[in-house]
Amino acid sequence: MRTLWAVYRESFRLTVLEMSQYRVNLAIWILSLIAEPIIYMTVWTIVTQEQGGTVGGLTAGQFSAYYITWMLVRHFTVTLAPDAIEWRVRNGIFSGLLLRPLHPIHQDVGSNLGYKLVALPIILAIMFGLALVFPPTFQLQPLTALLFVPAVILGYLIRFITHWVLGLSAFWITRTQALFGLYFVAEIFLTGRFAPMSILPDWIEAIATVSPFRWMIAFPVELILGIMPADQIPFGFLMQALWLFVMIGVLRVVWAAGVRQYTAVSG
Amino acid sequence: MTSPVIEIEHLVKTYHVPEREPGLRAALVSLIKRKTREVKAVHDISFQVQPGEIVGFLGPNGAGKTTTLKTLSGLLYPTSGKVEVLNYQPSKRERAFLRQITLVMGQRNQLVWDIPAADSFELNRAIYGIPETEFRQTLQELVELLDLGPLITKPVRNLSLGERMKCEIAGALLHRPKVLFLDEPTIGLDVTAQRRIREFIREYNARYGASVLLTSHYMADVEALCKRVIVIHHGRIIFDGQLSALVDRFNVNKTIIVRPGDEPIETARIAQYGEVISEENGQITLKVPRDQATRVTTRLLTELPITDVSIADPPIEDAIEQIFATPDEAVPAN
Repeated sequence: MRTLWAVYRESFRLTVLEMSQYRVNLAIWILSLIAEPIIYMTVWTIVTQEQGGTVGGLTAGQFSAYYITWMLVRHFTVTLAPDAIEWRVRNGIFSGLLLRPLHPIHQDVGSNLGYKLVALPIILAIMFGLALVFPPTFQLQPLTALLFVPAVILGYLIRFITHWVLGLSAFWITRTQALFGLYFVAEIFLTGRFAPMSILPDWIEAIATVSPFRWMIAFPVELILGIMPADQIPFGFLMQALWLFVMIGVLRVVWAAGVRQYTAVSG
Repeated sequence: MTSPVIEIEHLVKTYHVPEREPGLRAALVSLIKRKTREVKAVHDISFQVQPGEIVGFLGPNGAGKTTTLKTLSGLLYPTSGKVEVLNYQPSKRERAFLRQITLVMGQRNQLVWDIPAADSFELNRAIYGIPETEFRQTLQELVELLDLGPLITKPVRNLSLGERMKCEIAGALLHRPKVLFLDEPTIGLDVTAQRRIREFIREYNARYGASVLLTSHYMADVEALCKRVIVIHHGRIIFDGQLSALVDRFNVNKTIIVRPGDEPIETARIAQYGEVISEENGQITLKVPRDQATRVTTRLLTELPITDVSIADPPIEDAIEQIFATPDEAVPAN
């Protein structure tokens, strides 16, 4: 456990050091993140105005609150891209990682947390700026604000492991971009990225609810904004726990099979 | 008698390589039915390495050297045969095993590019759970042995290839492995850097009693470090023994160095005695069949106006070249 903690700490530190080398690059990349919520907020503001002030029971201010919060949750649940894992497999980088007496996912989590810390002040500044342009309507409750923290952590872990597993598909498939593309289309709709769950067709919401997607990002956002009815919150945590458990199991199986495949054919 | 550190018995490693004819039709057919070809990278090899030994593992490209090293370090699963390193089965990749070995592959970068190597070393310390005092001591020793000095505090991207390789090697040895698999550790380096790394490997071996299995295309590495060599060709071991025996066994020629007297000798005249390899600094070097060397030398001394003559073994490269140029079936098994 002490080793694990030291690895997290060192990976975190290295990423902070590494990112500080490319401040301009970091700033440009983070600014590119603004584009997406701005598009959604602009579109939904116009639509609510044309629909007489609300869409699916949400006002322009609530849409604004949704996407500003979504931006924060998205930042906390940003993971190592599956492409990065694929790149390691294809370029033999995994060989070096497999020689180490520790599962490489730990190092990735530590690095990823380092990235979050460095980028967080910029994300908060952008959120503040967006709140000035698109005034949000927040109705925060102390209890849901408190529950928001474990919901984000669980959402992050589910998403991180899912993306890692997806990246491991490169052990079997040479070109994985089609698979990743398909996955991210599903993520756009089912994580509440394109629109809040409450205004999507029932069948999409039903699919999102049984899939891990809703519990990655939409649930923490709906929780803190009070969109999710109080009696459904325990169900939400239950689904998060269930999907985390399932994804850890899938990771173990896929990792073992992937390493077997890697050690059988390439190395 | 001590038990071997590395033990391989009848190792076979076969790859299934996708195969396809060129052209659109073949591409479409391959979408439905994939054709694969079996490639035997390593074919029934056996050898042992004793504690503290430095063994050169030689062979041309594609001979099976890297496959064997990867199998020994647990990166490849053997198709059949027994592989043991430090009494572990490498393919199980147990943590206790991984903590005691290292595999250095030339030009494979494990250090973080944008930050100093010293920071990457800290991550290695955490991953291998090296106690702080031991880590500082080992690092200090490695810095001294590899002459790293200020290099480890410079961003890796600002280092030259040789400097980076030295840092890579230091990073790979911080946990003081007992077994080192070195795959072309001096590839692409200049002569000075090559010598430095060679000296380091020798010193590390002497200081820690580590066993080393080394592949290199530079015979200077092998000559400087390895008393014993294993030669692999087309996945089979064709020689395992002392380096000197390799030369005796496979060198079919000798070189005769002739120093003419005051009277110059025409090249055409001396070429009657053997193949003229070079003419420089007033001396002529001839290559003659090994079994004729004594007779030719006697003839040279009696028939030509020369002041001095000496016989030597040709460079070891010639022996290796000779082996690799020999068709498979003609190479005697060891």
